[in-house]
Amino acid sequence: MDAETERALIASCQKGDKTAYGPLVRAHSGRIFALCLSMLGDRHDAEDMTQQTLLRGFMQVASLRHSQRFGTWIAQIARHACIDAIRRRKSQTVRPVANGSEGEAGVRNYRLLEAALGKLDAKYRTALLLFYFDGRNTRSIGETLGISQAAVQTRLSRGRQMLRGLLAAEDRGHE
Amino acid sequence: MNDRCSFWRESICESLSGPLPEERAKELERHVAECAACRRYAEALAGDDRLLVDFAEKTAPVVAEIERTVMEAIGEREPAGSRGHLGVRLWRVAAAAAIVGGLAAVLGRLLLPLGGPSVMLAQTLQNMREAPWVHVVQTLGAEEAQRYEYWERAGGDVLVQKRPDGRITYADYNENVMYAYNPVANRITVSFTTDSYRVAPLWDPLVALSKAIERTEPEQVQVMVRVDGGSGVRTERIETEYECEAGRVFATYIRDTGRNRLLREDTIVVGTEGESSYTTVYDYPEEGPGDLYDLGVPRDAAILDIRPEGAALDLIDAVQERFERGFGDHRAVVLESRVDPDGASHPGQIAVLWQKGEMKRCDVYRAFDSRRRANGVGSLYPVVKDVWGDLTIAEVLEIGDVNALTLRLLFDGQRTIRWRNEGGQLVQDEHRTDLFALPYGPLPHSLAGLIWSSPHLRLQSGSSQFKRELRLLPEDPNRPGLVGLQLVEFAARENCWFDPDRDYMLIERVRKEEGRGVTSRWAALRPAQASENRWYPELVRIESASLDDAVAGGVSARELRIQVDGNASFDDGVFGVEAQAATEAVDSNMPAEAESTAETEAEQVAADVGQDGTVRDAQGQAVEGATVLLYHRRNTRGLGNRVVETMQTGPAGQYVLRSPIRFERLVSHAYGQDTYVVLALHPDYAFGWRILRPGEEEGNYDVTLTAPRSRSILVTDHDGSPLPGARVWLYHAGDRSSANPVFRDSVSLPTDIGVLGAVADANGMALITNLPDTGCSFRATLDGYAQELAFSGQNHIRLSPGGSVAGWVLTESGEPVSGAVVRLKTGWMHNYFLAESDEQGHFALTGLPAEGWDMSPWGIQESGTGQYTMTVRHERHAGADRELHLLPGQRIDEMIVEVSSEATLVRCLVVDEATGQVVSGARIRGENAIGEIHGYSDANGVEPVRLILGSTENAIVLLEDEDGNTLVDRSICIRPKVADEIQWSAERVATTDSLGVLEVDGVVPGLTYFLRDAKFDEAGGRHPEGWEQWFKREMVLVPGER
Repeated sequence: MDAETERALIASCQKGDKTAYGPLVRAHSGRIFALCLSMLGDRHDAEDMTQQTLLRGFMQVASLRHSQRFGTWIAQIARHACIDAIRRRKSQTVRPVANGSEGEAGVRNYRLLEAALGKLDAKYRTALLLFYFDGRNTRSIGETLGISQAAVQTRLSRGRQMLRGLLAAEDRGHE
Repeated sequence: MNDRCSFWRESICESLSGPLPEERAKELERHVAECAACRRYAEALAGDDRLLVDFAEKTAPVVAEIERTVMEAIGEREPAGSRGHLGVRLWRVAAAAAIVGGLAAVLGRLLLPLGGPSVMLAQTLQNMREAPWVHVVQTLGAEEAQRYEYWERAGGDVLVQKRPDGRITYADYNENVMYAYNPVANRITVSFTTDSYRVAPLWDPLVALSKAIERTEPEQVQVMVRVDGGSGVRTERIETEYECEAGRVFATYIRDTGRNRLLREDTIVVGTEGESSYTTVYDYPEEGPGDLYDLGVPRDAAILDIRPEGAALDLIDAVQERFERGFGDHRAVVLESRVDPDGASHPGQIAVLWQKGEMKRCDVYRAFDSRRRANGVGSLYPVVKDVWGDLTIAEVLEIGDVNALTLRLLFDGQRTIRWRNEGGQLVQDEHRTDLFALPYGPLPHSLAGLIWSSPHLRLQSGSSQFKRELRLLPEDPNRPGLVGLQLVEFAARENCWFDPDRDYMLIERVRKEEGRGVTSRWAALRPAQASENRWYPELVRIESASLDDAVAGGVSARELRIQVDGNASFDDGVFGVEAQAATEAVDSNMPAEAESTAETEAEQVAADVGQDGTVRDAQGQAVEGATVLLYHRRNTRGLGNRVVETMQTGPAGQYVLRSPIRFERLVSHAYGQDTYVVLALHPDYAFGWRILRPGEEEGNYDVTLTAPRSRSILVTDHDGSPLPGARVWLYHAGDRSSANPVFRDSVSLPTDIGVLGAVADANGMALITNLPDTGCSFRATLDGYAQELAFSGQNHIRLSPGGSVAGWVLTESGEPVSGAVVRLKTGWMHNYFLAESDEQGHFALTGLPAEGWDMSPWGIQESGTGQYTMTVRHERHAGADRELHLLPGQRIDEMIVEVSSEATLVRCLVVDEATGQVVSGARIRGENAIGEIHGYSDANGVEPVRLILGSTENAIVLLEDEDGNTLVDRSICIRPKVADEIQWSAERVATTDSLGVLEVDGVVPGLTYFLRDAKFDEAGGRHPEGWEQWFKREMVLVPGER
């Protein structure tokens, strides 16, 4: 979605046009979900949190002053909500999520991947999940995380390297 | 693998996140083709990439579900503060109402012989209503028009709405059922049509027209009438132009004069916010939609019936019936207090409620501490602050001040008139509903809303597609005798517990939200009766945690104290013009309020120059010869606390303290705030006190002395042997729930000031006299023993052998450091001890709890472990933390605490994200390969973080490129690499000499550094030469342990 369209949609939302929020939800739910998944480590929790975040976003959209920063703003709401959720958990163990629709090998691969992601430093995990859930756009990731595009590149590269190491170790552990 | 491979592996990773520069990509390709290890690495990474892509794709459908659910939920909510399309629509409808009203007036004038404007249009409306069905299409806006459609059956027993987003609501009032279709969810929700709380659930265009007729204002209308018979139907074309609140209105109506029905309305409103237009078309079909499916709802739409059944429905009906019946005639006062986390209670608001028959009134006053007229509204605080706990209904009625009035509601059985204070002006509006039946936050506007609430209102879905359900809760053994309902809505559950034995009074309401837990709790703490079976809660506690509060770990609490006079006699004037006239006095009282504000400001000035007051006894008689002490309570642990001034009261009991009050810090929370305490002592009385806090200066601090009492405290060792000579002194006195207001603001004295205590006799008994008749706790100290305490109600203190730590705070070169605060934090409970180093750098901490320390006063059977963490804090120096283990009787007398003067100071401001207020006492601590940081934010939230650098060395390295050529006169960027990440902020640049030698100082041994060319063009920009040509290398410059 281009910036002009997004600004227009936000302006409509601020005037109360609920339907205008639909495209914004479509455009941002991927990144919010990735952010929540990275922080909460559980797909179901992340789904719930994404819904809550986007709902809160709508309820508070009137307070948004710089519509060009909607992505950063909604990500901040998500982060706060996740921090809140984590505080309420007794442990912050990242819980792997299996995808039951896949074959046995696929399930195993996802489990390995999720286990490895869970062990990854949060900033690398977040960058990677945002990359794959939000259209492989490093500029958008930078806006979401409030860092430069170069820093995003660095995190992605580091994240890939570390993930590779972890997956290799997992593979060895299963052999 | 070599360094070169390391570089290419970085490039492989980069290539997966985006295209590499062409040249570099080609070179990478060549390298991968040649290097088997890198090839395998690239293949493995590509496999990871595919796995991640698959993973994301498999999860993607969930995102679609999220979107669907969110949009469904949003369909039922309005964004806070928005001027939503609903609002716009209502605004336009209001304009339309004015138009129709105006039209009627002029028609009336023109057709006056037919019976006046309202009668004429009422006849038109009546004819419209008598049609089997009326179909109304309203189109808002010229471009991207939004189309609303309505159907109404004769008699109004079936109403149908269709919105632009495809949502449809079908209400059948005969059958008491409402169907709501949401196209996003493709779901039909079935609920009740109840509108027994007098709020129409569906907007009815004919009702709107009817209301417009009542608002006819003939003088604002210009009209031109023309007869148009061209279509074969005899019609009137009526053009109007007039001013209304929304702006200049141009409207055209078409009326079928033969059937006396409106056919069409075209309206343009030119207002300050631009131009808007809408068109309304009426037609009158013989048949309307029989159900939702007739309107195009798919047959496969899911059906969600949220109507409760069985026992749940019985309970809802029971409670609803009582809510609608109400409490009967009464007069009541609700005092809302704000409760601090430490339990202190402060006036908030006051609501005064009246009901007689169907007539109701509610006045809400501001009573919290506002030194200025916030938003132009005054406060009853100066009048109520000293009597807040004892206010009666009669007193509240006496002090009610219209300047502090924030809201008044009057209901005459038909409509509610409302006044709201906006910027000091009472703004009036009128509603055709009973606003008393609607919730308005924690302060109720009616006893019925407080005692029962309205289950129907909670369940009412109206046009809702929002999943909302009421269920019966299973019996709860922790709530014997209570029956419960659970309201289920999106991501939230609300449990309401009612007491059938107390006429179904609401006892508890707990709201939980997914991911947040309990977000609010409402509890009736003390049931009371006005007369037989007329129950009400005398005390209600409301706790709530906002999102920001929850992040900060905080919960806000309020209390409602309710007094009810169920047999009050009052005349109808309470509900009539007298009440209205009272509100008109608001302007005339303004000067008086301004004067009182000026007085307050004068008092503020007085507070800055000194304190005075009078010491009196409980009967108000002056007490001469009382000793008055001013104690500065700088610190909860006693560091720096001292008695500032001492004097005697004069013949009239008066005293004047000459010492200025200078608060050292202003913090947002009471815990870290330094305060002053005025203590008054006299041999014939219990000691009395007043506490001086910033922002609450009064200039005059009267102290009340009460009847004295004594306490005996036994002090023994662990074996029960008495400990003669132990000093027992008062640590805390007061009780916020005390019946006596003078004891509610409790006082704590972290240090022994020498006058409020006693020494244990041979039997270990210490008799402490001149104590107030309220909760008091004590501390006991004795050389060789750790300090211990007795809470209120405990008369025995067991002292445990303690330890001591003393020593010097010195720099690396042995220079003494004065003013350093040494802090020992216990490892077994939250407790700490402070000492400050003197001119020689010496510090001492005595009476420290050691291993085996008695924790029984807290009800804990375990003993202290003696484990401590020692930290040191100083303005210019920093030191590392140290762990200590203290054994009973152990003395450490010559500890050297070394601090570094080489630390790097970084100042930052710590603020509360939610409020923006500075946070004092925040701790930053951590370490990495570069060094350690230690710091606390001070009273102003400023955190001087100190980075303690380890020993560094000069590094001298010879730089060569891949081919072994020395790099001569080359500028090199040097960046440390910590936790596998290059620290760009620590970049330095150095130049190799003519031999290719690079010399760098301040290098951390063992740490990896990333070196690369620092090429700049003449203008200072980056050199245009390609990156791949640059020198790049990671290396350890100085060998070490890291």
